[in-house]
Amino acid sequence: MTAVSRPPQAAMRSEVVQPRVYDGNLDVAWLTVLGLAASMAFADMFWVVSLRQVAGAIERTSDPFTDWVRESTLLLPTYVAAVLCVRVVRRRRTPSAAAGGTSRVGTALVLVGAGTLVGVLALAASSLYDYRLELALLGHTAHGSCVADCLDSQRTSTALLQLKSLGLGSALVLATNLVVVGWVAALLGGRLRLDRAGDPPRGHRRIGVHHRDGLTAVVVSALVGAAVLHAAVVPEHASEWLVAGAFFVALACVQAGAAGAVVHHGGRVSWTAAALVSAVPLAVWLWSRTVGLPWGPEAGAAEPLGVADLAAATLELATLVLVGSWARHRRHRLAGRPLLTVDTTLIALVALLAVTALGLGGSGLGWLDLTSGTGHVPG
Amino acid sequence: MSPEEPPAAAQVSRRLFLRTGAVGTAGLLGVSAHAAWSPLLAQRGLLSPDGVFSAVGTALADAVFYTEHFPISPLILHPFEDQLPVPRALAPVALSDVRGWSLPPGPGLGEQSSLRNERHQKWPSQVGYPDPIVYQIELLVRPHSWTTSKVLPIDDEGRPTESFDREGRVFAPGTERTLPPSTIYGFNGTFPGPMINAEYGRPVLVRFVNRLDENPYALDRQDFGAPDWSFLTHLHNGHTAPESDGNPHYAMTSGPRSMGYLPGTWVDNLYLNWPAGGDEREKQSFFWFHDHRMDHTGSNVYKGMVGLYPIYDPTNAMDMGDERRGLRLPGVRTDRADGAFDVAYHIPLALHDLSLDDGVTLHHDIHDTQGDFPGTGNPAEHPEWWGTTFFKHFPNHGFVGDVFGVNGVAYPALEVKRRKYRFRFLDASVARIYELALMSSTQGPRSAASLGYVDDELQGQYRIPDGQRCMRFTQIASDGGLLPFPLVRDSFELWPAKRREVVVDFTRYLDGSPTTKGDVVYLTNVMKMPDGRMWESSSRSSPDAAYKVPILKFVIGDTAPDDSQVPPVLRPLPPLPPRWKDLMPNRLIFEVKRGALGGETEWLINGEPFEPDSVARSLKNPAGRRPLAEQRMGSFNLWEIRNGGGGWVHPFHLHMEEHRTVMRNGRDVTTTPQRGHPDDVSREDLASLDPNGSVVVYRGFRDFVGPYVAHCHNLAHEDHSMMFGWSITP
Repeated sequence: MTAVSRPPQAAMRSEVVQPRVYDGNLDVAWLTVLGLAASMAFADMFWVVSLRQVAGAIERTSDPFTDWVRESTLLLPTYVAAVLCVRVVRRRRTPSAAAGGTSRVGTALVLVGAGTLVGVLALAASSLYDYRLELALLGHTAHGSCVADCLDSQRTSTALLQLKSLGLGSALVLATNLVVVGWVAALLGGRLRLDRAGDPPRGHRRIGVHHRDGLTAVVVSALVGAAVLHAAVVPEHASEWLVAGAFFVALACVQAGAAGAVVHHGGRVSWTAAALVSAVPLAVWLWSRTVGLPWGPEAGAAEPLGVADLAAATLELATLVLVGSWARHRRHRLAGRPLLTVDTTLIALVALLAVTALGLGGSGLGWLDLTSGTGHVPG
Repeated sequence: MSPEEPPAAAQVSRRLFLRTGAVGTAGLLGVSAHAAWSPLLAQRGLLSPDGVFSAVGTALADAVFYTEHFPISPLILHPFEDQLPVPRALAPVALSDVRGWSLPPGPGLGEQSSLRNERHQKWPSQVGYPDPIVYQIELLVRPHSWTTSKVLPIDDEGRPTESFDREGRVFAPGTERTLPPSTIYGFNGTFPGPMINAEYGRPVLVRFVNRLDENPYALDRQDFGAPDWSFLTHLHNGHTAPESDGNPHYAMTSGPRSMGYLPGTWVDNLYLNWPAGGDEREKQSFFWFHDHRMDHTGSNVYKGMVGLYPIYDPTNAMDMGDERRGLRLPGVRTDRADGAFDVAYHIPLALHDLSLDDGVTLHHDIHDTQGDFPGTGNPAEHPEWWGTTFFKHFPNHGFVGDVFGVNGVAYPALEVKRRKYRFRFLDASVARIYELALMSSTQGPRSAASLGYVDDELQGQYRIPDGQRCMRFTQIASDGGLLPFPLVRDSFELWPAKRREVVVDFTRYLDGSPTTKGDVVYLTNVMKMPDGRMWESSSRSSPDAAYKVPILKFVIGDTAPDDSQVPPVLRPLPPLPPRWKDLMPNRLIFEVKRGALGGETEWLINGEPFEPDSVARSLKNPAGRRPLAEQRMGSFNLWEIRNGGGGWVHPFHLHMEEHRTVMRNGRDVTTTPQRGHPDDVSREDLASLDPNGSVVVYRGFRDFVGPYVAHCHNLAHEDHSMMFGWSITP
């Protein structure tokens, strides 16, 4: 068992033995977790991309292999988070290492379910995006011979096509994940152990991760993720308006700096700064997407939502929530209970990585761009 | 170790077994899949990382998504008994009659059509030619019979099945029937329409008059053809001004300012019969005219709007249909008193495939939502249309028929003399590609159903299982006219809208032995194409030795005098500039692709559907630019056409001038063509794009200004937006 850093003796509080609650440890069988996640990610995205060849908007069908590699890679953290969630659920329900065959099958099925959920959500998001693009194209192709009822009928037909694709894709994803998880289990000799070693001995007092370390890691990750996303959109914004480009450069630097401050100082000032560098851009973003900013090339016009900005906003919101939790925890000095268990920290970190990855996919950055295709959308 | 756990050795054994099994299964599946699918993927140009996704997508599309069901046509019981119609040249309108027209043709404003709003860009006198010979062709609704033979209705397993008639009666399986006539929209009411024998130096003006609103025989128009009965005639591939070219980029922005000329209107299409740039080397030899009405080109062509336009070259008597003069290519000319002339031993062969309604196949495609034919109640079955031509747009697969016809007759026969003939082949099908060979058979044709074939294998209806190649073709011309030198070929491919002219010597076989009277030779199709996507087998790709479908039966007759020859040199090509590769960085690039829209497939170019009121924009070229598809008059340029993949082939056509293919799939083909495309050494107006293929063509933009189009000539693709507008600027 990997030991975590122990807090100073004076800071340790008497442990409350909670035999039915597992606090978590760092014994994640990462090879198994990553293997399962990667297998399901690449297998599921194969169907997503293949179905796009059938029902997808034409802008998104030009480089299916590249799309498959890109989307599988960007979604990998999400699959990892899903597998880790299954690990936590499993451990809480069956902490005993002597889990029988039924439990293994159950674990496998839950893994299939979790992976399928991610795959279906990805497929649904892709279908929705295709539908939006196709609606934009619909009016062009009819040359005026299809209006009113005809146009409505074609919109309906297009929607039905996407729903059909979603239904078939969901079934394919489910069936594939059953095969994939089963195959991985066989490859592991019939054991789907998501933990590297056995459970700690009965009655062993668990050593929880110091609440500050887990929380710090998550907040820093959120800030760094937001900074990365803001840096990623600099080229696109700078090409439209240099001032906007400079703004995002500054924002990325400030958020990265705040993350550094939280790591190195960890005091009230740095946490307050973390909250500020999240709250202000979040407010500006809300303003730009609702009323519209009063400056810039499109002054006064509400900007459309995008994947990158939604992801950044999510990360900033997460930062605010975590800072608030930190403040509340600090004020009330809740004893003996880590704010974030190791498992929660792990899942949170992976989830934030997933959000960052998805945001990068919507940032318009070359190879990472999830919306890339022929590069031309009819105006 | 707890009592429940198996012994350690057993655990190890089980784990080892499972691991080995997992690895082995994965390996076995991988090897098996590679062995099973690689050849098929390679044949379809899909053996690549991207291709795998396209192949899976296509399989899912066929299995689940797109409802494109073809009927099984009734079996023609006595093929090769109807004689092949050999058209006579259409007679021009007498000059005195033309002068008596209330609105005679002329060069002035308002003298180009009944709409009185356009003029001819160039009148013949401007190029030193006399006034045009005038023809009048009317678009008429008429009945047409594809065969006089009795037919046997069969199902998709080749078994006799029930049939129907217009009154709703049902006929028991096994009942032989007579096909009812099909309704056509024909030039002068015939299919194919008239043949105009033209000559360079003698302009032709054709007044096309739309009388499709008249239905004197009260024929059922069914559910295809332009819903508003409009037409737009294109002379493929005449060097023609836009107002006479018959293209929708012009029609939607000028002239009719709509998709076509409506009933009650007429248009004068002026064909100068003048080579591009006045260059003798640009002369062509075989045009055809067909409909080009936007969004319904395929249905209008399939419904009958096809005409023929061989063009001769009297300069130095080079190719004027007289085998005693000039190149002495086969032909005996007879000038008629009415101003036309016929040429014996010159036979146009317009190949077409058709599908006949079986009364039980659902009429359904995306056009049903557009309310084109509300009275039909589609999607619906139509037993009252049993035995008549069936058509749906089928934008995903493209439309192919299971009955093959030539010059409007299914499985005809032609008695030929023992001498050389010049055949002008035209593929007038919507999507089907043919590969043609000359074969003999001792057993003769047998129905595919009697041989045990089912489903798609019934297409073509007949096979000659013992067919053997017995003669060769000597190709003398392609789309762009006479070749620089003849090509001897065992077989040749014929893509939609392509023309190939060949000389066949019926005096002797391949082995040199002479033919005798009564011998039979079959024009045979050896390319299996179950849908409009691409071939399943052909000589150059997974040949199927059992697929030999006879289309036309030649019966050797008496010996006839033959003064013809096939010279070693025909017509020189216009030279390519030595530094044509300098144009490569600034070439225009167009990529054809498919996408899903409106519940069915749409076909786009550079991601855009056809916009009739604008020109397309190129993809980014190596110079980093995306130029508009506009060319200055008198210029030359390189255009690249790419097949965007997915396992479809595309016959891509550019209007107004011929081109030279200089590169194919990234390789220079100016001196040595690639396998499967020997005609790249000639001039063409239609580039054959294999799966994932690309071509770079060199062409000119001379003599006229205005809007033109380029498009896929799989008409199902064209009608579903695989077309773009381009223009020539002053």
